[in-house]
Amino acid sequence: MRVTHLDAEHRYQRLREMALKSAENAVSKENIKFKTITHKALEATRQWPSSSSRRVDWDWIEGYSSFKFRHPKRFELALWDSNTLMALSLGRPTYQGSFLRLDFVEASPRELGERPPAFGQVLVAYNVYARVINASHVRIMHPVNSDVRAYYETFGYTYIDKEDCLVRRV
Amino acid sequence: MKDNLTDLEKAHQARRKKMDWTMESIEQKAREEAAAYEKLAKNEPDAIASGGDMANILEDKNNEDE
Repeated sequence: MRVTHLDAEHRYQRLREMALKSAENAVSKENIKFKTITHKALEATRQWPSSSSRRVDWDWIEGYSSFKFRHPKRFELALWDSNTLMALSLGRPTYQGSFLRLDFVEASPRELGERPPAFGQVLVAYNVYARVINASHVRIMHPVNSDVRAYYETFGYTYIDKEDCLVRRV
Repeated sequence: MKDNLTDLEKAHQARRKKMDWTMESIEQKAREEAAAYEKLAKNEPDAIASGGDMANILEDKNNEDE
């Protein structure tokens, strides 16, 4: 790993933690915690493949390792309701820094246990990080189906067919 | 020389505008958004997911990389 990569990792880790703390304070629910992605969070995803309602076949343990290695400026979120993992997400700024991409998000399948709604809280955290790094837009990549896409649009996002993403100014 | 100046002008024009966010204003905005998004939460689909090929992150040649 290059020194510049390591330096960026450390600098942006501070920004990630600052953004997560601000988002947690803004949401202000006693049991809801905004954390970076830890071993405990990744272990909790091991039961997700057992759900028949799951829409993706992602391996978060491998995927997080690759994403972390490649993207030191990434944003990462593990959203917890007390000790229950609600959702994981990974994103990154674009080359020019104008956009913050939400590359992956997955909420815990409800079939495996009831949980509070997660997506609005994920977006609060992304918006904070976008402003901290001076990005002007958040871009949600590849919604998994039309229901999910329609739901994202209720947050003011506009779908761009050509890139299969939704975008909104922050 | 004149061309170089023109290039600099172009570069400055293309540079991202600073948004003038302070941590205080970011946190205020986050509180407002958290309250607004709370009202949308009841419509959340059961299976929330978005994203591309997680198995191919290292090989992804997307030119949007930082």
